[in-house]
Amino acid sequence: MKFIKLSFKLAGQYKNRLKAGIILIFLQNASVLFGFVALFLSFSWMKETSNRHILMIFGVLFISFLFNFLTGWAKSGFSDGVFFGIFKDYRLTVGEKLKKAPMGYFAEQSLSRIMAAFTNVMKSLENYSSMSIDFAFSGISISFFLLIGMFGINVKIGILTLICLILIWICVLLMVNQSKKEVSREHAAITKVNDALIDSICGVPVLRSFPLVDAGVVEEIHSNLKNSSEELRLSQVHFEIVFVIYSRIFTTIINLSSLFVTLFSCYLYTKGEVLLPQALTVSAAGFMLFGGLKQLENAAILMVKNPANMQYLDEVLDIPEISDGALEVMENQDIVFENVSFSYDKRNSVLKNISFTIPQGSKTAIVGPSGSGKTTIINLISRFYDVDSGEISLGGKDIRDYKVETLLKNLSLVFQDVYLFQDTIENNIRFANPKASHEEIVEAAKKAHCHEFIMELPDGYKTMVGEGGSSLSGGEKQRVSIARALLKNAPVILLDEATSSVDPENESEILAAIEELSKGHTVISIAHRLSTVRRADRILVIDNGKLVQEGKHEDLINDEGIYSAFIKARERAANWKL
Amino acid sequence: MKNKKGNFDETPDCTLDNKKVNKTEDLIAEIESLNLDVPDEVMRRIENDVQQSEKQPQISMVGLSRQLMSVAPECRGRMRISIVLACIGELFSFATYFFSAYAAGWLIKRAYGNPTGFDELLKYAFLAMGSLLLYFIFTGFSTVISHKTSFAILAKLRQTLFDKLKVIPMGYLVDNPVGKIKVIIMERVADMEDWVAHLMPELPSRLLHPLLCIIILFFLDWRIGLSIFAPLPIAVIGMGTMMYQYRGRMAVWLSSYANVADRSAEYVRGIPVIKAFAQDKASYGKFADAVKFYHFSTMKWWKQSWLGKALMTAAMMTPQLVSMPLAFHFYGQGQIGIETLLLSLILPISILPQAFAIIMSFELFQMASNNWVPIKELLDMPVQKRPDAQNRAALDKNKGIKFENVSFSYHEDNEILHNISFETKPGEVTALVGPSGGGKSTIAKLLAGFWDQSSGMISIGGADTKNISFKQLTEEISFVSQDNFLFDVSIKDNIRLGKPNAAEEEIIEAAKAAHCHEFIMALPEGYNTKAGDAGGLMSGGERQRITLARAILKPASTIILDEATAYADPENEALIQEAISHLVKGKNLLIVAHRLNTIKQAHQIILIDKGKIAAKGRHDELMKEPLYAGLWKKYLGEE
Repeated sequence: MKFIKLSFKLAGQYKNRLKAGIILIFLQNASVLFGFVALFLSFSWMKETSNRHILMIFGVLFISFLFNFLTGWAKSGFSDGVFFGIFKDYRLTVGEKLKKAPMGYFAEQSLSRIMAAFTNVMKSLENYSSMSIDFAFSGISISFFLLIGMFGINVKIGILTLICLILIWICVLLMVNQSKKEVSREHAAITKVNDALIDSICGVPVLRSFPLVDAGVVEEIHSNLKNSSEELRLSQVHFEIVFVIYSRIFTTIINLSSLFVTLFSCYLYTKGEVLLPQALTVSAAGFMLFGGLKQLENAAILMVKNPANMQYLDEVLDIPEISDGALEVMENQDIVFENVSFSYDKRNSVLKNISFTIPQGSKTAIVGPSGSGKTTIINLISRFYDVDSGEISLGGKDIRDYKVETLLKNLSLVFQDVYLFQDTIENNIRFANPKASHEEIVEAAKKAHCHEFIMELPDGYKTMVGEGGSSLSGGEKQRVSIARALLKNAPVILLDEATSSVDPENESEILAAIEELSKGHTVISIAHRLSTVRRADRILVIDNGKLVQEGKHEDLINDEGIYSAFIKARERAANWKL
Repeated sequence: MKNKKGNFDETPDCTLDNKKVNKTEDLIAEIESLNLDVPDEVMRRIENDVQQSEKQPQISMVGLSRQLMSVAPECRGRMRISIVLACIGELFSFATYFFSAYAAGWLIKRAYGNPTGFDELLKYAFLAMGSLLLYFIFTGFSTVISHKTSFAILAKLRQTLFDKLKVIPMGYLVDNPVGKIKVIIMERVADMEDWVAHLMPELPSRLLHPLLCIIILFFLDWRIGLSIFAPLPIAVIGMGTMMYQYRGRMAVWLSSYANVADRSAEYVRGIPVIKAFAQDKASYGKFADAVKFYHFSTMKWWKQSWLGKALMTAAMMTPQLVSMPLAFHFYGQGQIGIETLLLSLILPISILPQAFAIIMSFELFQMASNNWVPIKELLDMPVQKRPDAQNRAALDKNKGIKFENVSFSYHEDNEILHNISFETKPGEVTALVGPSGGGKSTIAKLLAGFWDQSSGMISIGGADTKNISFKQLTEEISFVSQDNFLFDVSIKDNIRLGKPNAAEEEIIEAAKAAHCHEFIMALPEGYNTKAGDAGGLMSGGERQRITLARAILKPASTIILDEATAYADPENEALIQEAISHLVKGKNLLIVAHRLNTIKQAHQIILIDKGKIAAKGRHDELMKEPLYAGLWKKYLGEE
């Protein structure tokens, strides 16, 4: 059982409690033996039941009740909440690991895996794991005690019981295995429908805007969704029907087992191999015990409900750690790229043997078509990734020789996608420097041109921002992130200009904020705006991972090349009239 | 999920409101009495969640099933048959109990020297097996039918929801992320599965089993029937301790989990920022606190419920506590026969396996009814009323667009546009300008029929837009956005959507005007390449130009253009602009302008501020307006 193995692997300090819990489940189910004994006693005394006998029967049952209660209570204390503890530790461990992981690890793929592990996977395991373990081990222990009881009465009945139990367990295991297969088929179908559905939803507004279209094309457009939905429906029906048939076979075998055991004990009685009380006990007890096994079906259902992507839990624990240097002092902020090559997937190189120097205090703009490697340059300077070959140095030392913390202290990053935390605006800005006073924050906000709009918000600086910054407009978020960078006041600024025109009405405010941020610092910006490019001390034109042009605007604009083409297209766009 | 929702909420009346406030306060007081030291953010969340959930309409099991079945009324009959078959099948499962009782009787008779042959017993064994076979067949058929029906219902529900998208206000589709709509149609519907496929068809027969056991016992001997309830008080006490302060604990637990989920998401998603500012210690602390509090509050709750849970389980596991001694007592006194004795021993125990399933089903019902809320909301969304496509309104070519005292609000209490009135002439360019958030884009969406105005009238060519069928309206109007969605059919067919009977030449001409002919020809199969196959070969800007070719082909008289959302990527901006220039030639153009330079020569510029028209006129006239002049100053400062 992979699931139980995984549970123990994750259990850590809770391992012993988990074991104790399992032992207690065993003990708890031993209470069925008391019921067995009570039955046997009753049938032995049935000819002359005195009040004393009745009281004794009641006594045995009451002890059974007490025993069940006490072991159950102890079991809860040992292991009921244990999975919540296990996953508390797991969450904290992964959280710790994330701190030390290289930024490159957080590419989209791993992010969604981590998120899945953190949310769905853990939530259902937290809630269902102890239940599944309960059911599974109850089933095992009930089978065990049933055998003891039956063998105790007669070896032949014991053997018949064993055969029945083997059949029952085979049925359960088949049920679980088959379901697992079906579940993965169903997941594949769901993924297909999801894709088709997203496509179709996107298509609805288009079809509504172009109502003249002929039926054939519409049919073709919708066929994908229709087919994949039908496939999903069929796989679900198939899954359920297979499961249901197994479950019916399972119940029928259980019922037949108690029937056969009863019949067999009657037969043995006619042969004189068992006595009357024993034969009667078997007829009655068969039901109690076999009936208890019906819980196994519930265990099987829960096993199937376990999330399919459980292995993420394991994978996420293998987060790599970034190598850390020792240097804590940076002499100056000259940035030098020397023969740097880099690829994200070790195959298609994004930067090809690129070399350039950015002197301290200069303003550099990087220009080039999308996919040329502009953003990669910034990612490499901030050690989101490390170079494949060549060297990047800052202040004369390889950036990998610095402590990561020291390196990042010297850099301010202004991203295209601004992430704001679900907290007050003030705390979002203060994030850059936890010791900053309210006045310093207001000062930074004023410089970043956000003081005005912040004051117009219902609670001013104390206004809560939605997760990711959802309650602010794109331009506003960008300015808050600039205020953050201003408060951090790092000597080097890495700026990724927004590509899409987030509220162009406020573009001048953003530009003014950037201007303020750039004062007296070394600035490297990925530029889309003409003004940024024109003002730069130096322009690096990147195409296909190589440095193709380098110089000032005035020098480059007259050369035929990517740069002049870029500038012309931008000017044409800016002067467009209707 | 929270935004936009309010739209369709009914306003609760005052008395109800007061009650709800009290309920919330009670809960808060209860939570405070738990002495958990609930962190502020969890507390805020609880208040929020409680208020939210009080607003949700309550629904019963029967009500939910009825609403579900009304989506697929054709399945009702089959569902009923399945339920009846399941109940009949369940009856046959009792055969084994009776066989056991008979076997005991047979044993006793034999013991007292009144032997019946073993053959007799075998005969009954075969009867019992026959019954089990019938049980297998009936319940098997029942579940096959019910599952086929259930998944048909779910498929129908999805189809109904999807079809609904074609008739609800287009604004809903434009203003909501695709993911959100998808989640309703896929995930929320999938979460209904347990209810539709398992509980709705199976719950009646599951309840039938224990019910019949109890009835039979009462029938056999009412005293024994009563005695099986003896452990009930213990179970109730156990339940009581488990449920003590349940609401408060539950609320804390749910909210502290939601808090962990959010904090985890924030921590993981925000990690680039966290690292860039070297603030991992502080952020990790926040995340860790949330995790620890969640664990703390969960364990507190669990610990409290352990005793009760153990009591309840023990009581449920020994239902024969009193009935068994009692039955033997009666048997000893000769008041009941051996068969009754046996049944009195077996039946109470056979209630057990069903108990878990029944308890689970209440939990599943809670989940299902929560999932039903967003589904129902989409199902019940109002449909805009327009004439049928056959009734074509007569449009006067000499009249343009006219807004008369148009007001609009998404929520009743929050009007976004106030009394907008303006008129355009055919073939002219009209520009809407103003500070962002002033309502320019909303005016464009109203004209396109994405939402219905709250009051006032909008007309095109002299006809009220409410009297123009959607088909005719979309023929007249093209709304240009940065949307670059292509269907997975050939590129030719994608363009042809604009004019189904277009000749090949027309399509190529439109493609040339939209600057996409060249790159289309470079694709492996040219115009016949399927858009899906060409996915990796085309950039966002190129896809967008194909959608523009489609719009160019469409013989619309009016173009609405939202300039800010018109360009998907800056590198293609100039080319996209040229395509748009082709598109708007000689048409009525309403442009939501963000860069003033674009519309300097417009025939009419309408200045919108805070949902009102501040001024209108030509550029030179408007320069006298301080607001407009201010916008220009800002704009020129930027380039």
